[in-house]
Amino acid sequence: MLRLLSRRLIAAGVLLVVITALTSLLTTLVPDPTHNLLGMTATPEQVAAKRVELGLDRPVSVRYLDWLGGAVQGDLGVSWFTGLPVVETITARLPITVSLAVIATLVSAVTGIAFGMAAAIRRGWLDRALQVAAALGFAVPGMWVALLLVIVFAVQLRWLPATGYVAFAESPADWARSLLLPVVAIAAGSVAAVAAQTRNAVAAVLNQDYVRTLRSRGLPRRRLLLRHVLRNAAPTALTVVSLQFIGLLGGAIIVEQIFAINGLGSLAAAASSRSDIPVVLGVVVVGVLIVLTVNLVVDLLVSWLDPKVRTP
Amino acid sequence: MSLLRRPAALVAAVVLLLVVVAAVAGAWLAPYGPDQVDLRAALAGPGPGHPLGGDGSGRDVLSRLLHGTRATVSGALLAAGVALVMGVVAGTLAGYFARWADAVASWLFNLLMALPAFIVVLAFVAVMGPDLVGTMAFVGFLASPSIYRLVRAATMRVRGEFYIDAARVSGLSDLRVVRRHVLPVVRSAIIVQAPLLFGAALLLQAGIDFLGLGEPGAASWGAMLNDAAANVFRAPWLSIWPGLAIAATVLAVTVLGNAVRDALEDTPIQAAGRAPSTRGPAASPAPAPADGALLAVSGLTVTHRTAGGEVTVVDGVDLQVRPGEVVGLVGESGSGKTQTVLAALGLLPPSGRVAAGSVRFAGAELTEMTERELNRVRGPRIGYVSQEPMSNLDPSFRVGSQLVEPLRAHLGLSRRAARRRALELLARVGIAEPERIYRAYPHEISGGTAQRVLIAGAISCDPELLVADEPTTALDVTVQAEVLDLLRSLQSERDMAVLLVTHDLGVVADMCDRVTVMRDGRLVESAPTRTLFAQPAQPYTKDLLAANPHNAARRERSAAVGPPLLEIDRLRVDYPQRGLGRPPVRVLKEVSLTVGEGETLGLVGESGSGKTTLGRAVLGLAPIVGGSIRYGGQPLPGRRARARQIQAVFQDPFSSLNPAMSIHDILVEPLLAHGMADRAEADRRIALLLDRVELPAGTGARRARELSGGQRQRVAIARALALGPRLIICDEPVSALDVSTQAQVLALLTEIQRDTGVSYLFISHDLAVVRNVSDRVAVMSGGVLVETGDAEQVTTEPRDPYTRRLLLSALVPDPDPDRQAARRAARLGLAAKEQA
Repeated sequence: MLRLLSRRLIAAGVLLVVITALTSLLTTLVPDPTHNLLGMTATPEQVAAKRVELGLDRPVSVRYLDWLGGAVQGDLGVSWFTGLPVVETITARLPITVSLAVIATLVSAVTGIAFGMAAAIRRGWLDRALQVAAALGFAVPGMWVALLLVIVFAVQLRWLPATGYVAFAESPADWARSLLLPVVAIAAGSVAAVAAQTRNAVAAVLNQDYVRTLRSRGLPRRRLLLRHVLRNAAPTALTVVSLQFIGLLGGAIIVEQIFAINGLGSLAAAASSRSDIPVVLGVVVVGVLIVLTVNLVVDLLVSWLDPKVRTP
Repeated sequence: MSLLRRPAALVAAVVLLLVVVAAVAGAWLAPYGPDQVDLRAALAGPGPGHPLGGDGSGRDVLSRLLHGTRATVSGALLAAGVALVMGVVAGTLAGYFARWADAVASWLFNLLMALPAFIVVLAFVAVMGPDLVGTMAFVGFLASPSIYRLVRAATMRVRGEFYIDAARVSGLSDLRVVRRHVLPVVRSAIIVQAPLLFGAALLLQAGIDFLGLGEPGAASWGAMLNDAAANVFRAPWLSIWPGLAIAATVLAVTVLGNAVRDALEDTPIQAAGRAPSTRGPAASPAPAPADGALLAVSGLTVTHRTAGGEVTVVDGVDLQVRPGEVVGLVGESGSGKTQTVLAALGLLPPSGRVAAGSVRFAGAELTEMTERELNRVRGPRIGYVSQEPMSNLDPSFRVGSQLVEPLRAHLGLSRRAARRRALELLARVGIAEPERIYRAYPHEISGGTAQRVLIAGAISCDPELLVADEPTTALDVTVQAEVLDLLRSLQSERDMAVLLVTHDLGVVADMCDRVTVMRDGRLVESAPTRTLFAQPAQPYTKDLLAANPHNAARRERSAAVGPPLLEIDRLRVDYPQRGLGRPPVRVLKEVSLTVGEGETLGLVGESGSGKTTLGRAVLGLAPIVGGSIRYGGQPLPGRRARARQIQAVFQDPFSSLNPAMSIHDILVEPLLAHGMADRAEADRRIALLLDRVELPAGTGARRARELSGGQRQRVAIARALALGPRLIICDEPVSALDVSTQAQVLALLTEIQRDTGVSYLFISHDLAVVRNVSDRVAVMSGGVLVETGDAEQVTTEPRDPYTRRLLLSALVPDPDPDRQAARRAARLGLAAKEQA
């Protein structure tokens, strides 16, 4: 366990340094970012002054080490565009996106695993329907689902708000109403994906020799399925769910845009379009940290479930 | 094209054709330019001049849809291409060369996997600016781990196949092995994954364009959705067409990919001996002692659903087991013996069903019971033990909990009482430390212990009948004898009826009161054991008895054994362990032996003895760390030169031939690799080789997967002979074959030696087989040679106690109870002496 943990932490550190260093290095290869900030009409003096202000006159290695030194202490610099500290900007928006992604993951995990198990056990029409749903869920873009949901439930039926996010503290009911459509839009595709892969994992376990032996012992079917089959299919299902979570983070960025939710995604999209490098770097760091944490937790869970890892 | 016969695939193909046409000719087909503005058409619904309406800026929706196709599709193709090239190259190298190449590549790709792809792409766009080619190439880079992992896994799987070893032994270079044997397998894995990759890339690109981060102003489906989102309140219909275009394209690619995969997987595989057709005169029906039978199977017919329709695997079988009686059910592979007992217990896989007949247990009809009713019979009244001990224990639960569960369910015992009972059972089946095994997980115990645990589970609720399906086949010879002794003592102690399924007449002779013989799903004959052995009524039973290696004729000694051809001196082999700092495992500890010209040296040992490693070291397939191997008085030559001197026949006939290749291609490969023949000459030689191994001339055109196990092993022998070697390493060449086939293949090997004077190093776990074919015999245990000597002497009067134990553990098809009892007593005496 400790070995796994320390190896993962080292890999995480390497990954963060490599990707932020590369991003910083690339900024020296591209046209001057000050044009984005000052516009095309800026005089050379204005540009030079801005470059000094942003520290772009210094060599990239110095800039990067400076940034890294700050980052280690929890300071990710200030936005080139708003001048606000990146950490503050991100922490203000992080809870919105994380709650969106976590709720969507929970929804797709619970429904996906339930449908997947049912399809593997019952087969027949349910199994075929799941295969069709999985193909559809993969092919239909989340943003289109989001648009269609808005058109039907917000524009036509006027049941739910089309845009905006209400904090939980303000009104739990409105919070739920504001999240309902975005969560459905994000989770729609991944429910089918989780279900399809759970179905395959459960079907593979049902084929195992030990399931036949357990049946030969006259074990009640319910107990066999809920205890032995589910337990052995769980590692696969967990891994699938963690992969879906990473995908859902990407989905959240787009869906936030449609529902005008001021989360990490809309921040990233805006910062990316105006080359606000400090904010982009900050979002990448936070994104990588989230993904690494989720992967680590899932890995620990999976290895905790696997007796071969647990008993050295 | 057969796959276009599926309606879904046909529709998908049509959709894709439309997409391709739009991508190629969209610019000419579109009625307007992509940016041509007609202000009257802004947000206008479908109408004349604008069949799909106009967008927020008054541009024609149909035209933008057509113009946008090329950018959208080519971007996705680029990303998929980059991912494929990176993933395939790195995955093949890592999978084939393993070791550090794998460690480095896997670490890097795992890091890449851990990135939140979409956020990183946004960062890339922020730095590099909106540029379709650069962004999509980067997307391909980020997506490459999925291909890498797939290709690596496929390569590693192939790498473990014996046909890769055979190709290397034939002297093929690594590059040639990868090209001929690895890449075809990788290709079929990719055909499944590539469409998904393309779809994911297309969706991601649409997402980037949707966020307005694509090339500014360029027409694309994602950008159109963006426009639709901006106008969702005023013109909701705008989102329909771009969304539909994306979804339909991705769906079509996926559906077509699945269809191709199904078409690849459905290649008909001829199940050996599975389709019972016309047969000779029906076997004499057994006299039916219907009265008093505990288990009475009558007219049982079992069918399986396959791609080729319903196949009958058990055809009208009758079988009785009386209380306290031990009945053997004997047959070769494909005879339907396992299907018979699974059907009786209601444990058939979902594809199988009981088509006719009845199974009565203590008067109750089992085939008509519900699962719930069956669960009151299975476990408490019928116990079941299967072949593979390790795969029959649930790996996630401790041994104890798997024993306790049925005890509590059926006998209603308390947790404590069940635990006490389980520990008693473990002690009863001969486990020395019941407490420790009770707490152990299945992966922590040996195969022999696992089989004892499974037997303990089967008898835990005091069943009246124990059904044991090949309970000792997967075990080593010495463990096999111990487990059979255990079954016998349990049977007599509880006066339990036993139905013992086996392919081994030695097991029958040792255990059974009566025998039923099956073949091709039908009953051949049924008789008391002594009668069957003394006067088999059916010719098939006679053949079966004659083919048993204990009864088979021994081959004549090689007339003239020449000077030593192979000299192994104090050979040491270590296998490295995974993980840094772990010491390697020493598999061979200073082994020395010689094989003379024209001689057969039999090498006997149990699993883990190092016998296979010795053969692999001679073939250059195992890492030698000390000692020397000399061939013909010289140090062992390199791979190419060695190939023409030393060849191999491997154990598993299903893994030793590439299933996708024709027999002709398999045999021609070594000849061409060594430049020994042009095409015409090669064809002539292959005809001779096929004739030599007694296969019909037409075999060359068939694929390996269409052949039976015995035919495949003949092909493997022909391949070994192709280069005219002087030594052939035969590693368990017949242990996967049925006894009758075994005898034929062994006779062929002997005949070839007589004609060509080739030497054999014949590796086997079966002392009887080795005795029949060898001049001298060497016995290995725990990585050392314990005894070497004349075949007759070692197999009749062994000097070493381990050899003696091997000999006494062998199951002899001798139905005489006194002689069997004497062997058991000698075996037990030896074990007692060893313990003292």
